[in-house]
Amino acid sequence: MMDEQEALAIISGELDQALDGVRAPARFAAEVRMRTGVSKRPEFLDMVGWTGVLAMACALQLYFGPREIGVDWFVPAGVALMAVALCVGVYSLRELAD
Amino acid sequence: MTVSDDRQFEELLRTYQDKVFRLCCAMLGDRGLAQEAAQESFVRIWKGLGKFRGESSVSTWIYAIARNTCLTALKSRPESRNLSMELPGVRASAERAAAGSQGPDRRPDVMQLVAELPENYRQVVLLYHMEEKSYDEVALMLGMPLGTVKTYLHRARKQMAESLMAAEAVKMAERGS
Repeated sequence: MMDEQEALAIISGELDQALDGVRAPARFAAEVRMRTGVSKRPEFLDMVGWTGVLAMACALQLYFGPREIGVDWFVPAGVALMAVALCVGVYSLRELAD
Repeated sequence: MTVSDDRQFEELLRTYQDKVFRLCCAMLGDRGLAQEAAQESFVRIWKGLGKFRGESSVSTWIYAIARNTCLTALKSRPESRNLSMELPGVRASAERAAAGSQGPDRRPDVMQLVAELPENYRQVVLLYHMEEKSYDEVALMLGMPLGTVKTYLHRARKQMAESLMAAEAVKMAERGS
């Protein structure tokens, strides 16, 4: 004959098994964004803004920087910095999509 | 809506989407309705974000919106109190019970026992197990005092245990006859 403790343990175990890890569906956030009209604009602005700042820094450095350092050095450096900014932007977009 | 509001909303959506969905599941007992209500809750959150003064915590505010949305959904659909097969876990539980019903040591259909509980008890039980057994979280989400949550949970578990023992006794009597 089953006693109350045993019954409670069975109930608790079954409920844990049935209800563990309930999460919103995968498309939930995207559907909410569609309904609210909230866009990923802030992340795009971040990406464009930081890329612009880095490009400007490179240009200023190119103009005002010491002449003894070869100009050729700044072009790949600028491209590399812009690539980093782009990666950060893409990463933030992917995180947002998740 | 400003860019700053959009950003804040994104943060809230990311942080609370699962919790709001679980709250709606517990209150409505149906996955499809819960999804609709949770989405509607976030639309309301988005609309109200500019007016939120911070008089309560953000979580309290969000859960209040979700509860009100669910209550509106319940009012428009009062005829059904049973748990839907689409609620997470319900189908699996029913299938396990059905699969086990052939054997001598059949497992109980616990979700059926949950469905037979009064609405307040049922919400507390479902949310308690979805929220990793945190009384505080359940109290916050349902807007109930902590003591009430504990009392409801105790009574619900007692009622389910009694139902399960009664079913077991009937089963044993049937085997005996």
